Amino acid sequence: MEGERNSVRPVLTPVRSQTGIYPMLARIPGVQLLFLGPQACTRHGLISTLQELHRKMAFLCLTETEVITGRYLDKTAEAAGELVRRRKASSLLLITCCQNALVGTDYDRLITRIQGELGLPVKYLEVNRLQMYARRKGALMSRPTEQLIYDFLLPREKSARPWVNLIGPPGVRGDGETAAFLQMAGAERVYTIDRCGDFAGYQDMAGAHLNVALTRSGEETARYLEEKLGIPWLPLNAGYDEELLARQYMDLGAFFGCDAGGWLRRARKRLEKRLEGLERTLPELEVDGRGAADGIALANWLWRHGFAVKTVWLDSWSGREEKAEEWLTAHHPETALCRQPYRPALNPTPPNQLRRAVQRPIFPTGYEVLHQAVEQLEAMTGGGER
Amino acid sequence: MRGLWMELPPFSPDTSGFASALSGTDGMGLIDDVRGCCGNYYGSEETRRGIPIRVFVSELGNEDAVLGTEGVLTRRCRALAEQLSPAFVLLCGSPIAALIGTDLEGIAGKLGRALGLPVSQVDLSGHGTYEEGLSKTLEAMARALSGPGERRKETVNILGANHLDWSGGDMAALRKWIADGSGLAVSAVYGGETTLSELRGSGCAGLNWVVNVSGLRAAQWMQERYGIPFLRGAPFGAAWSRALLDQAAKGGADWIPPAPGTGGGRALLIGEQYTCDALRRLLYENYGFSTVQVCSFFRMDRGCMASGDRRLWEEDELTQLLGEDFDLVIGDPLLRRCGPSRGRWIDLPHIPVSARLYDDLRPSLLGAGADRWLAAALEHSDTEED
Repeated sequence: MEGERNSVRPVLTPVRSQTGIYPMLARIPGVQLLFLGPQACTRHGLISTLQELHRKMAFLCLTETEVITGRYLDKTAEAAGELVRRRKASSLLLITCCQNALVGTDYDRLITRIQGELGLPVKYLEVNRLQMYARRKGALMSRPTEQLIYDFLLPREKSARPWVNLIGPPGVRGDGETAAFLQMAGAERVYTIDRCGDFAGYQDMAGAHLNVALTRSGEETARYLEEKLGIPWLPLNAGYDEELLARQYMDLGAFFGCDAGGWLRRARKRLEKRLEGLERTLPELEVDGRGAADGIALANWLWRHGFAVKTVWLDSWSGREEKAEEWLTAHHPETALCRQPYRPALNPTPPNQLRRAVQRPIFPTGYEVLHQAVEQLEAMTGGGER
Repeated sequence: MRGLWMELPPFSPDTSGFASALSGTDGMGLIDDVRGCCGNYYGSEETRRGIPIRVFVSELGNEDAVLGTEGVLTRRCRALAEQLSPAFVLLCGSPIAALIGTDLEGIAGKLGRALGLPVSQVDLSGHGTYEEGLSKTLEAMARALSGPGERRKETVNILGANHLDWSGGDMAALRKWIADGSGLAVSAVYGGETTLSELRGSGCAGLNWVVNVSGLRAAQWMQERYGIPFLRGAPFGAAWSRALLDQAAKGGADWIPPAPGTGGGRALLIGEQYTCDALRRLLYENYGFSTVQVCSFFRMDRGCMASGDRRLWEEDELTQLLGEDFDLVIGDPLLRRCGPSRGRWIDLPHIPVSARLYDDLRPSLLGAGADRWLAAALEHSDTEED
C-alpha cells in the first residue's frame, strides 16, 4: 500500500547494514577509487564522498564525445595513472555506472592494460541502476560489493594459531560481542578489514582459519573466499531471529570445540531483563525500514515481544524479506506495509554540523543487534539501560 | 587533467539545474532516466525544507533502453500528472536517453495533446553542469509557457534567481525588495517560486532583469521574440543594487564595468559570475582593492567579464591560481582543498560545489546584506590572523 504517515507513534529503525558502495569499497587499505561516468552520475552519494572519502576517491567526468568515440578508454588509463602516482596507491578500483551498461566496455581488458602500465592490482565494479525497480531480481552490480572488498587478497599459508575474519559492513567492531566470544572460544586474533592497517596487513586476512559472515550478503563473499583462499566460513547474521542467532553462536563455538550454551543463557537473560515491561509503556510503534534489509524482521521481533507494530515503512524497491513478510501478514495483517519512494525522512534530518562531521558507523553483531533495538525503546520511554 | 576531480567533487549536473528551476513552480519535471538523478538533487542539493517534490524520473529499466523509453515515460508522466495536477510539464534527457537518442520533443508533443497541458522538453544529457541545465530549462519555460501581449512597462521579470546559487532568505525576500526599491511589479521569477499564470504573462513585461548567468539565455530569447530589453547584475551590495534598481526603473541599461579602487589590494573571487562581480564592486568601492579577478568553474557571460576574469576547467588551474599573490580569496570552503592560498580566505558556500554541506553558512547578500556580510567576514578573518 501507499500512504502518508498520519500519527506520532514512536518509530524504530533496524540496523542499516548497507552503507553506500563507495564507503564500503574505500575500506580496502591503500586503495583508490576512480568513478567514471557522466556528470549526473558522478554526483551520487555526495555527502559521504565530500567528507569521509576525501583523498580516497576521484571522479572522471566523461563527455558525450569521449563516450561515443571510445576516447574514454585512453582517458581512463591516463586518469588512473595520474591518480595512482599522486596518491601513491597500493591498488585501484574502477567504478562505472548505467551508461556503461549500454556502451558495454570490456573492463577486463581495460584493467589488464592499466595493471600492466602501473604495476599494481586493479579491479572494477559495474553498477547498473537500470536493474533497480520493483521486485526485479537482476544484479544491480556486476559483483557483490563485499566480495570485491576481499578480492585483492592472495592465497597464503594458514596462521599457526587460529585467526578469524569478521566479514561485514563498515563499523564491525574488532572488540565487540562477537570478537569477545570468538576469543573466549579459542581464536587468537580477530580481524576486521577496518583494523588491518595497510595493504600488507590486509593480506594477513588470507591466512585466517575461519571467516564469519555477518550479513546475508556476506555469505556469498565467504563462499567465494572459501573457493579462492580455502578458508571455511560460518554465518552470524540472524538479525532479529533469536532462535537462529542461538544456533549460529552454538556452531561458532563448536568450530573451536567450545560449548556456547552457558554464554547464550547469560546473553538471553540480559536481553529479557532489559525488555521487561517496555511493551506496556510503548503499546504502539512504527518501523522505518527504508535503507535497511530488516524492517519487517524487526517488526516481527517486536510483535513476538508483545509490542504492536502499526506500520512498517519500506523503500518501494524493497523485496528482500519475503519470509518475514509472509509471517507478518499471516499473524498480524493489521500492520500496514507502506512502500513509497522519495518520502522525506520520518526522523528529522541531521543538522549541517553533523553532516560535516565524518560519520563513523558502528555495526552491531549477534545480540548487539537486539540490544540496539532495546536502546531505542528505552530512549522512547525516557530511560536508559536498567 | 580535464574531467578528473581528485580534490573537489564533480559539480552539480545539468539535471540538478532542471530540478531546481522546476521545484518552485506549479509545474512538474520528469527526467528520462533511472532512479538517481532526482535522488542527488533532493538528497544533497535541495535546501527548501518541506517543499513538495515536483521533479521525478521515468524509472527506466534495461528493456526500455532496448525497446525505447517512450512507453515508460508516457505511463509515468500520466500517472504523476493525475496525482499532482501540474499546470505544465517539462521533460529532460539523461545519459541513457541521450545515448539511445530518445525523441523527447516528439513525446512531449504527444503528451501535451493527451494531457491537455503545456508539455515541452529541455535538451539535456546529464553530461553538463547545473548552470547549463538551469539556463536551458529557463529558456524552455520562456519558449513554451510565455506569450506575447501588450507591453506593461511597470513590470519586470527576474531571470535566473535560484536556490542553488542564492540563499533561501534572499530568494524569499527578492520580489518585495525589487518592488519596494524600483516601484516595478514583478511578473515572474524564472528559477524561483513562480506559477504558470505568471510565466504566461511574462512575455508582456517591460524589462527582464538577469540576476544570474543562468537567466541570460532566456533573456536573449525573450529580447529576440518579444523585444524585451534586459539588465544584467546580481543585486548584491548597497551601491550596486541601488544602481541596478535605478536602471531597472528606467527600463534597463548596458552592463557597467566595475571601477577599481586605489588601495592596491588584490583579490580572487571564485563562484557564480554575477554574484562575484557584485562582490568585486564592494571590494573596489568600500575597501579600495585595485585588482579583483572573478573566476568560475561554470559558464561565464563574456559581456560581463573584466580584465583577468576567466573560466576554470580543471583543479590544477585553481591550484596554480591560488599560488599567486592574492591578499584575499572568496570561494566555497571545499575549494580550499586545491591548495594553500597566501591571502586571507572567506568562505562563500556554493551548493553546486559543496551541496548542502555548508548551507547554514550561506550568507544573505541581497541589497546591503552583502556589505554587512563582507564587513563581518573581513573582521572575523582579521581576528583569526591576529
